[in-house]
Amino acid sequence: MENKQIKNAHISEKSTRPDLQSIAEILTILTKGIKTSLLYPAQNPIPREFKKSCWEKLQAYLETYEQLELDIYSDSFRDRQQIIYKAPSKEENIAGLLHRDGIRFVRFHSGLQKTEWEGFFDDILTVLRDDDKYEDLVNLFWQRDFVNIEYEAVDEFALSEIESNYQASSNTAVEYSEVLNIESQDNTVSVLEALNPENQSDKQAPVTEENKFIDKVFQNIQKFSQEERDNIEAKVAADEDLIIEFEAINLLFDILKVEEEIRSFDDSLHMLNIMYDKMLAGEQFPLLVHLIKSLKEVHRKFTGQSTTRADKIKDCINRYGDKIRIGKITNMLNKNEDIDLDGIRMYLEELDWENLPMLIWMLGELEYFPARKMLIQAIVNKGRERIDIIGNAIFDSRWYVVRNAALILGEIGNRRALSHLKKPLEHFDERVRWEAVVAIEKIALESGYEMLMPLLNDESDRVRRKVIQVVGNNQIAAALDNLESLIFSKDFNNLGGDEQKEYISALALCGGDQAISLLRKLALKKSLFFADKYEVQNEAAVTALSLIDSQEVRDVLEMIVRKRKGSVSMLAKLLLEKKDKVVNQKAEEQV
Amino acid sequence: MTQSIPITKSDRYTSAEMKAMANLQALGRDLVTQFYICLKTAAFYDNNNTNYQKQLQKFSDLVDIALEKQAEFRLTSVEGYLFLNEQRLKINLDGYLSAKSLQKTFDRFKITGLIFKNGVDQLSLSFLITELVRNTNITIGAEELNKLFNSKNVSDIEFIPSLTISSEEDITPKDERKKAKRVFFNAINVVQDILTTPADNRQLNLIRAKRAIHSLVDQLLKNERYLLELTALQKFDDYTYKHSVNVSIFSVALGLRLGFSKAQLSELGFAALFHDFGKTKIPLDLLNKPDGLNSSDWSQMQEHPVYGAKVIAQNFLMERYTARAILVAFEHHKNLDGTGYPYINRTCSLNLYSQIVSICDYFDALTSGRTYRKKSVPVDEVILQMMKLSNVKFDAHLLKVMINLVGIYPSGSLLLLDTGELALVTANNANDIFRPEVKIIADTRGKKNPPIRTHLSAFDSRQNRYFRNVLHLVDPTKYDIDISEYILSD
Repeated sequence: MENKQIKNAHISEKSTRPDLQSIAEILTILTKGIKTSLLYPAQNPIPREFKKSCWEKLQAYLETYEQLELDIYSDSFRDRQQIIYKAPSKEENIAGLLHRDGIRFVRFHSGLQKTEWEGFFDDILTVLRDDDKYEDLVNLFWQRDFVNIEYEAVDEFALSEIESNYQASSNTAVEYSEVLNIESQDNTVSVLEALNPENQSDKQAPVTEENKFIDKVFQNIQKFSQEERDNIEAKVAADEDLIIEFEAINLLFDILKVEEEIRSFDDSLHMLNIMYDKMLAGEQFPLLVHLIKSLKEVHRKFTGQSTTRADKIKDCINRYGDKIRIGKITNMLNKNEDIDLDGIRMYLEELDWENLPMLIWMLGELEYFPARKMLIQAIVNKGRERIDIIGNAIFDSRWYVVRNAALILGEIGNRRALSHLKKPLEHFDERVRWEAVVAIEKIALESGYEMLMPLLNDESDRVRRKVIQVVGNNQIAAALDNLESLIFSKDFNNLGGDEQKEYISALALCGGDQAISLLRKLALKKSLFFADKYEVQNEAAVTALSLIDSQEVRDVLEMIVRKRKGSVSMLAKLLLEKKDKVVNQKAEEQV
Repeated sequence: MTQSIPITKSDRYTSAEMKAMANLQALGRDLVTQFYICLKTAAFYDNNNTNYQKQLQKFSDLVDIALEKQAEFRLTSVEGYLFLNEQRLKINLDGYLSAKSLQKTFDRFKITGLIFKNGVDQLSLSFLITELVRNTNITIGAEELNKLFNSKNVSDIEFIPSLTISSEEDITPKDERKKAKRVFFNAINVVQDILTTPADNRQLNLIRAKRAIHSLVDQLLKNERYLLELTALQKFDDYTYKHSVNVSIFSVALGLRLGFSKAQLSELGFAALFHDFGKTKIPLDLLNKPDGLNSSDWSQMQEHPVYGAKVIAQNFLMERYTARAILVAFEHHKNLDGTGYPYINRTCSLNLYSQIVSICDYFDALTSGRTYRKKSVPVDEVILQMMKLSNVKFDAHLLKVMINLVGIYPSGSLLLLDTGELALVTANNANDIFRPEVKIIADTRGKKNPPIRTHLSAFDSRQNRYFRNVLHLVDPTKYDIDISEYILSD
């Protein structure tokens, strides 16, 4: 490595003595920032705080000292020989990482931009996460093109064998006088001299057979007209709009489409499979989506033309949703919360329906809620026409799989899903039953609501209340009898006040006019010895009456005002006043 | 008498021009161009000359516009790029010459750039230009220049000393040539390694390939002449590796003139380096066949673009670099209208990078001969042939950029001069592509003296003519002249 020294006239006297303690602090926070970034998702505040703190301290340091220099050793950051910061462990050895990739010196200048700093930080993370060693820091830093970060890499350009073996002749045997003698007798002039402005001004450059076909673009060979410059700029701009990876994939498929020999076709498919595996390992889901779409397009082309080729492509497509591939994606989702969920969803949706069972399997394997949510969305989009496959999931032994299957069936909202929801309604786990109720509500069919009736007696109050809510919101008349018998049973008095209110409201909503007499009964229900024993039910009944739009309700309310005292009577009175107000308002509006 | 509309310097520009200039990029480019024009004009005329004064006035106006909203601004050169304050200036075809010339001027005085402060007037600017043009003191640097300017009461222009890491001695052309040589041969080494490495290990070599390309790009950004010169080296056992590197160098240099960013240049260089990757599937004896190819050979050879695309796709992770390399490997023998080989029709047009590599590939292939034993085609014939193929095989505008890059007589060309001397072209002259820089390798008597470096643009003002003119190209292989001797020597 060349021994280099920095020439810098601008550094003030105080900045020549670096504050090693401050630098050590910065490096400590940098290490923690890197470590926590690897452990936690990007949105987690812990790594973000470290990163922010590191930036602030670095910025403050540079404002005072104008630059921060680090000599990189395999185990430490140093100022010449003096250790500033030694890595506490192998996993936290950032200096070692830089050293491994050949970096021996780094300098940050004042004027350092936050984007540069973040780029530096992110590149270190990229390399640490890169299990397959696709990148190295020197290349990543080079691509960043830092203005305020200098680094020095080991000069790996040692004298190569090619260079050392390259021997130029000394030309001692060449008789130059002879050369000059021969050449001076040759009077040919290069045809390109016709384009020389010196010759053109003399008009001595004739148009010859050779040069008459030259485009006018070259007539003024050294100058570019505005039109020419615009043309070139337009070409460059147009290229910048391309997604070049897509273009490359398109090309490979154009090659595949025209492979004449089946062996070449197989080779091309094999190449695509290898490419696929690399893209999958690299988590390049947008590219994978494009790949599958292109495969499907080719499949359509060959269907009807060549069964063999069509089948081979179909196998490929199925392969991309098989257990191995889905397993890998599942591991990725469980390992990295920051992964591209949208990209994965689009990929999963692009798979054929034959891969749906694998997606269902995946349901039970994902650890994080966002990933499960994404998968559910994908299955919903994918499974609209394949409800039976989704329905198979209700036989899974894992409650959460059955629960999610119910959720999906509800989201799909297809009547054919109803039959698959019967079993979940009877599931031992209340969370499954609850989800099944929600699903039935989404499907919104009378026959579905009927399935809910037994759950009015469900042992779980959460489930019961959900059912009540569903029947009430949808005013299911068929529920009236069930509700009546429940409300007027002894056990009803053991329920919580809120739940009792929900039941009674549901009664009103489901029964309409038919419920008025029942509600009146409830409103007047009294205890001989405990005045407030039925107060909740009384008030709930009165409130529920207001949900029914009928003249009879008015009569009942007036009667309650007369016959009852206290809060019940006052409530009835209030409701009457409210009704009058509404009536008067309507009358005024009509006027 | 007061005027209702104040006459300002900005009145010299229309309001439409003012709006454009408000954009920092446009302003930066105009500043650089005008600065260069002033320097060039000052080289020929004295300070009282009308033309010089006109150009100076324009420059002064631009400086004023730049200082309208700030107390000072900086024009700096860092690692081959020009900056206006923090804004990197995208220099394209338009301003390439002026930018490079200005950077050379900065390098000569060992400065990173200049600070222009509020209050700077035309007189100060004139003093600056005159000093930059006429000060022949090669040891002077920023500190001395600042002292000089302060002593002349020109305190609103400041010189920024060079901040680049440098070796203990100053970097000389000899060092630069040595570095360029190292970069060049390393690139060949890397290509050879990759093409001969089993597939499993190719991913690791990709990292080395990128590093090699980055070094090429850096070298070309700093000073392209040495690498371009090295493209003329001939004596390689395996043509393919050196050809790949040559095409990469030409392509990146061309991309520079198109205003490509560093990332784009590296992508282009990488794609160019692997454009013939498919040849790893072609038998060696066919590749090196000296006697010409029969139709069966030719059919096989025409498969290499397809092989190239597939091999790259199979061996490397799909990312921008490799995607681009796939396209270029496939398309570099296609014509603009989609004809050409391989015979696979596509609906989309040729990728820009493929068009660039196609030009560079054709040029290098014909000028160096496909195998060492084969005779190369005279460069002027190659250029003429390419011009005739423009708009069919090559984009005419891109080809024109290429011709201006290499010159009519590219580096490594052997010339007979009208003085009876034999000269080797060492660098293109961007100001006049018919008059390159040369080394005189044999005098009128045919004596081989230590080579003298000179410019064919050197003008004898007393006789009102150029000192030397080109008669014609000489084929060195006809006389077994190994031009490498002159290229590799200082």
